[in-house]
Amino acid sequence: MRKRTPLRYSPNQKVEIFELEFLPHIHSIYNFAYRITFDEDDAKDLVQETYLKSFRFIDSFEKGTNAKAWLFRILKNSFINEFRKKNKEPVKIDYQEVEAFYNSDELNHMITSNLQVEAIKEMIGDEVSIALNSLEVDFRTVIILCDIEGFSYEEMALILDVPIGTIRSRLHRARNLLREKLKRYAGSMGYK
Amino acid sequence: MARREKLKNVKKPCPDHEKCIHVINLVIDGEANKDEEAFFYAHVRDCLDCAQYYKLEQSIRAAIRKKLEVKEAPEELIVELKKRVKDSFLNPSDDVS
Ligand SMILES: [Zn+2]
Repeated sequence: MRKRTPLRYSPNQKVEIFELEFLPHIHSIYNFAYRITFDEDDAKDLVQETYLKSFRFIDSFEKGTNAKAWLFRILKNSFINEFRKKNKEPVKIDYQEVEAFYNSDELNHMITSNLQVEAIKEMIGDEVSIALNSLEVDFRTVIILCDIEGFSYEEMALILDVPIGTIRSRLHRARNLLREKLKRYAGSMGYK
Repeated sequence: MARREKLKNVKKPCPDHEKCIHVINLVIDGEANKDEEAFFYAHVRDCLDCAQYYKLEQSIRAAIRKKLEVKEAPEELIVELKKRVKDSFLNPSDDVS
């Protein structure tokens, strides 16, 4: 995307790539956009921008390669460049909580009972959603890319433009936070 | 059953749970190398802390995958995008953006 590459595709080929390789991912892209913006109109705008950019830069896309990761990367750049700039990011950055968590005795939290597993199995979508949505956007992002979209660590590093080590540590932190939120939830439901 | 009995008998705390947590997550994510996998299979089934952690993480992954509502892109957005892409050929001077 960064380098200008010479035109390679004919107009018909471009439409074909767009429709056969890019559009099939639109529901994943939209779902992700919604999960990072919490707003249907904003998600729509982001998806529209992503797809129009994908078409504008189509000559830098190698036909038959990983279109899904390529599109997610454009989406992530659009989100950072335009969306965040407009100060529309609705989620407070919860670094204090992150700090507090790391200062706590993590090991003690890890001794979990099977009841907690049962509680999580019984949770409804809204409860899982609230827990996920309460994570700061960078943490939410890696969970969605890994667990819902099934991207590998390497693909995630490409999409987010960070080293693979950052993906690992971000995922590790995200999972710790999510687990604690869900466990607290389970506790409030009477599971201990 | 026999397996549950076995787990009950293992009361020793995990010797290096930080490392185990790291490896368990790699295994669940399909990112573990051969050594990490071998360590996982050798250790986790005999360690109550790790077995519980593994189950909990798996149940969380499953909840994320199966319980969240999946938002689908509105049909009119797809129609609009197709149209704008095709229009860009009729009026090549117009940028699709
Ligand atoms: Zn262990």
